[in-house]
Amino acid sequence: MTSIETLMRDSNPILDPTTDFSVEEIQAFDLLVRTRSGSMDVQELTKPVEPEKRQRSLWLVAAAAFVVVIVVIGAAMLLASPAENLPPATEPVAESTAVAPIDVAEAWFALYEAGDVAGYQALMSADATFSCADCAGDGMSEGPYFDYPLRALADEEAADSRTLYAGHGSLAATCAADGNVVTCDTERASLFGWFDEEREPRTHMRVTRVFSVENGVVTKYTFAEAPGDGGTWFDYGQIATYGTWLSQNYPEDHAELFFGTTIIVNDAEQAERHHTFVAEWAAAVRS
Amino acid sequence: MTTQGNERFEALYRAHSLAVLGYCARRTSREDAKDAAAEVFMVALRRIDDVPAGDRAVPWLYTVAKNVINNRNRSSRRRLRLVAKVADETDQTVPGPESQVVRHSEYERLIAALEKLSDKDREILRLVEWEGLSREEVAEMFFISRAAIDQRISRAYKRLSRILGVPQRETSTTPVPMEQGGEA
Repeated sequence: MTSIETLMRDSNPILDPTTDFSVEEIQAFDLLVRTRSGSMDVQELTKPVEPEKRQRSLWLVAAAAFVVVIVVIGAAMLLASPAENLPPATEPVAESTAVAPIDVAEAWFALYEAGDVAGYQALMSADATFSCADCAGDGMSEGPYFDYPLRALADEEAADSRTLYAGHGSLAATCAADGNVVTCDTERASLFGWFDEEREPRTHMRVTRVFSVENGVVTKYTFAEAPGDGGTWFDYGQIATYGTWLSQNYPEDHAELFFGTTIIVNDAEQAERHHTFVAEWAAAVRS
Repeated sequence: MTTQGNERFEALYRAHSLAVLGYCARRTSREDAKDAAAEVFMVALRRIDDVPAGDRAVPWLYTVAKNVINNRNRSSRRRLRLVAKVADETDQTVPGPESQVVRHSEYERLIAALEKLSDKDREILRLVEWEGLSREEVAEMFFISRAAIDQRISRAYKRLSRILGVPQRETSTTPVPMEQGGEA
């Protein structure tokens, strides 16, 4: 059976750019570059002699195998769901009941890491409850995630998500499901975080997040920091250093993206601009 | 631009234009790929002094290409699609086999499954397996350690394996202790 690694390599949509593009495509691209670059004197690219293309017979094998799988799954579903048990055509189908809770949790982290606040919040029910030990500094806090007073913590997470994206950060999650409850241990790293001796971003702030998932959405969310791991999400010294670089190189952008030494990431557009500048800043620091 | 800069750009363009075009075509339509790749080289032309020399130019160009494509894709519509995928792609409903044969191949299933990975894990996997970059080059692109790249690839393959029900043939990496830069 084909392994997942082989499948990944073979599913490359462009196996070889030197042979997968037609002469016309390459000439059109070349013309585009030369036109946009104005006076640039780029010699016209010529398509190399086309070697024999890699065989794609695997597609046929894959298609045949897939038909077999579909037939088997279809038969199994028919056996498991007799026609009389199906809902009437007019009855709404239960929403997202097939979504595995662990997939919801992992999607939540992927969207959070991408700074997609609307995305990960859309995976939570409007009345989701939030539980966070001593988040507000006054003992156990529990209540609606989207209502005050805990809404302030939800807003803090939204700002964190965007800032994490701005700083090319990662929120690595290892999740395990027990029924509809998914427990995820997370660690973060970011160019706005701390670095090891080799100037690599160091993981920090171990947090356990627990999600209760019903019908494809999170209904309860618990946040617990590992004991003694500190609660600082970013190294604000790093952010200040980046701010200094931005003010020196892009003063107009700095005026829009910083308030003093405080980074401004109130929306996706600002996060995207920071994300682009941070890459340049990091490259400049390392060179 | 100086004559030297112009010559350097020409050499850069001739050496890597098809690789960049390929990178873009793997992540967007072939038509859009030409436009995106041309934009990448316009950035390189403007910032030719910042482009690293030799083979290190390739990860630099791919980073610019990634940003160019991300900027084009990042819209509220895409966000909604991402959220919808969670519900749609995990739905166990199986369409009729006739349409499946035409629309879905094993490769297409894998590409759909890739969408369930985080943006970063997906990109790392594609850079290593499709673009042929070394793990060290990818680590440099993402400002993370080689060990973290190993762990992300291992985790991504495990997830793809689980989603598609396809076994893993090989261990992508050996576990790396946290103190050596590994991620959880």
